[in-house]
Amino acid sequence: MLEHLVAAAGSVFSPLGLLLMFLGSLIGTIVGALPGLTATMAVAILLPITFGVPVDLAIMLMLGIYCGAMNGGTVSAVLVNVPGTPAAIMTGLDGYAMAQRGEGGKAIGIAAIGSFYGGIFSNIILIIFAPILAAVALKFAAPEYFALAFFGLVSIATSTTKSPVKGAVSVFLGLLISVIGLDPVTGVDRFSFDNPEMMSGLNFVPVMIGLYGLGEVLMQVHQSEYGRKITQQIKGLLPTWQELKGLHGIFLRSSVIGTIIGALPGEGATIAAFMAYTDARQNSKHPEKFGTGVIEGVASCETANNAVTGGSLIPTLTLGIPGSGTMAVMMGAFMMHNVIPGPMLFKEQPELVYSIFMSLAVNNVFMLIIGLAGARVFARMISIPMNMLLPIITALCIVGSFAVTNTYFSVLTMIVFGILGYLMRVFEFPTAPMVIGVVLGPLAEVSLRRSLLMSHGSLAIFFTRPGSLAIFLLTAIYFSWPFLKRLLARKPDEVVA
Amino acid sequence: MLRIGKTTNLLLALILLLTVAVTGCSSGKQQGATSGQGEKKEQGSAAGEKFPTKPISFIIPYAAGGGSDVAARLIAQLSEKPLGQSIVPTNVEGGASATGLTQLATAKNDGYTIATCTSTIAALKPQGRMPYSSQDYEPVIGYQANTYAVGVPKNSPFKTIEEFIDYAKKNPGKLNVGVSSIGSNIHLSAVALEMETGIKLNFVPDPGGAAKGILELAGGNLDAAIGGPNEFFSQIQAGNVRLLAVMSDKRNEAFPDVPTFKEKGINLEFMTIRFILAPKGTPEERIKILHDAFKKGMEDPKFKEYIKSSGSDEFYQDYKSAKEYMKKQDDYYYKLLEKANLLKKK
Repeated sequence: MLEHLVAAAGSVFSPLGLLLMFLGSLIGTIVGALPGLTATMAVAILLPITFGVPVDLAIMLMLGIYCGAMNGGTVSAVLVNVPGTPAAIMTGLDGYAMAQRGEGGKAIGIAAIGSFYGGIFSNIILIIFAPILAAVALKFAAPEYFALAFFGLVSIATSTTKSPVKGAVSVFLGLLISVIGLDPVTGVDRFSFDNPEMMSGLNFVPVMIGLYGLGEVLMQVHQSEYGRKITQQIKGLLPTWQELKGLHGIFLRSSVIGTIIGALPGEGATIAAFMAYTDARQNSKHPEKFGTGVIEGVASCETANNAVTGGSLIPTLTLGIPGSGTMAVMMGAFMMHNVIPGPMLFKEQPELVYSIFMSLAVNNVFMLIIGLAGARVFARMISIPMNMLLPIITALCIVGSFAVTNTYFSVLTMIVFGILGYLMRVFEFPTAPMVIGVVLGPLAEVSLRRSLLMSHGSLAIFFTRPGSLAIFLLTAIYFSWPFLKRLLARKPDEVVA
Repeated sequence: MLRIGKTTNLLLALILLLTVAVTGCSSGKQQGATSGQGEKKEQGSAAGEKFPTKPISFIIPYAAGGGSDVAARLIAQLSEKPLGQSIVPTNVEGGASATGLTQLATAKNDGYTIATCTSTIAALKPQGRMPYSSQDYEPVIGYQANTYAVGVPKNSPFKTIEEFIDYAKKNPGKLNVGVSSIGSNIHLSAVALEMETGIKLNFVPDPGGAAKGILELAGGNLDAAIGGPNEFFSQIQAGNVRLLAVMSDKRNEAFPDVPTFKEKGINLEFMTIRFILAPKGTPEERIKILHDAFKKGMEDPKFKEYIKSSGSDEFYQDYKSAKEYMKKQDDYYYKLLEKANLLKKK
């Protein structure tokens, strides 16, 4: 084992290796910060270039991009409330509110530290528990995925909104949007109006850019006076040690959530961030403050979405099944270099596995440096006057949505959802539940119908399988816990009264 | 009032520059593909003229990073040198390749805009997902084939494909079989299996592709799954999954022990082919120049290596025979779609 470790360290800490990883983190941060450009895209475009490069160097570069993009998405979410990547949607809730108070730098700093924590945590878990977690993931089938999606959808009702009714309306709107396109199980046309581009469903990224980017721009125009600056002053550039100490519990719990969600094949950073946010809110002493710019809100989702990076390597490396979209592309890169990810990889090429682990750790360090150094610089961007910033964001929205599929249909989708996002803001409907509805809708629908196909129509499948039964029970306990706690606490009072 | 700090100005300029640079990589080279839209189609110029004199725009109608994207980008990269011009890939995704292929159909037929496609093209028009069929394009070359295999969990009672089919005959609709989304190639290959053997299976489709089905198969949650041989690879290595048969014309190099359906006396051969297409009416001498360049790209050891490592099969059809091949494929897919009740209702 030791000789493999030394050999791996030799390539990871070589000048070329370090340079590639730093470049990767930098490219990733930029790509992540620009809405519409995703890590998956950047990795895919770089893929043919890596044919001539040794496999370990290629992987270092790609992991750098992957980690960097997770962090970059935060910057635009915090500063202008336009998430650069879907995983940063929840970050915008509190991060943007902080930026409006002049604490944008602090939000970005906390995000960078949280990401570092999550990244290193999941990396350690990956090294120790990968084979065990892989065995658990293998037990996950459609019924368990449905239970998970159900948990996500139910929890929307309790989070991100003051009015549960408006939250529910928003969720259902999102679910309705997610059914557009050919039915995944029968192939029947749904709401596509014979438009071939709508038959494959609405692409999620333009929807998000519209709701958050253009919708926010329109809302700012609606509210603003000419030349007003978003914030008057910049204060509290970096989080203090005291603040970080208070966040320790959130860092840990969110890391666990992110790693577990990442380890489930196909699940992603968006869902992990959402779940960590819900969890932090649920366990907070002041849940009502979430959404108004609390550091816990930023810390939870950023820690979780970066913990997914290590987590999603688990199914990729141990099962040969990609844990996320980016991982699917990276697996292609492995195969192209004649490396077959799967249970045998650890036995046959331990050197490569160790260099992956190590480069992931190094990439997390780079990401922390770029994030903290960038926090000071990026935070200054907020002093750009509105009448200059809004047109720039609008241009970014158009370019970004076009870049997703290279069609004008995406731009049209973005504009339609931009107007919808504006109307929702005017009438004070929360947008996050709608986006979560769009993300979880297909997962919930497909896994529900797959489960029922497996059981030949019997609903019992959800309760006879230990996995899904456990998740449903946990969901019930989790959401009744605040009430249970109050009941238990109230009892002595009642006796006195 | 509008004084902006120097740093901010610089930052702003930098960000704008980067945006343009980064998006330029993926979308900037779009003009070639769309400039022909709306213009009158004209025949390419007389023979003997030099071609190509500028970069070729290459539409990949799938998302970046998928199997078809990787194959297309690789062959484009390897064929640039023999062609003497760069080949610039652009991902135009949507509608199971219909969006990108529609863009090709309306592009200028001068040989400077081409696209890759898979056998999926045969399923689009009959389902009403695209107004064009394979016969509305000029094929340049067929460069790669992918086939599918039937896998079962390690402790499955079925040791051979005959046992599987016998059981399915006696218990119609009872076996749960994982496929990718309805109307996709993997699903249609399963329909072909039903059609050729007269069995009825219970399909459990997943729009994400075959991967989830194979994972559920490895976990023992499905009776069988259909997918590309390479998609089964790691689970076979781990001993969780066995393959019963492959649908290719000859045995797969990576799995020499797995028989073909043909060997077992079942008339099932299902391969999806990757082609390169040009718009209808592209001059034949230009098609030939493109074909020769891609042929050289195919012969590059790197491409052969890729075919092997991706579990695909070698396949080659020149521009003349490919058209006939695609016509036959259209007819076969029509029959399958009819059986699966997926034809567009008039």
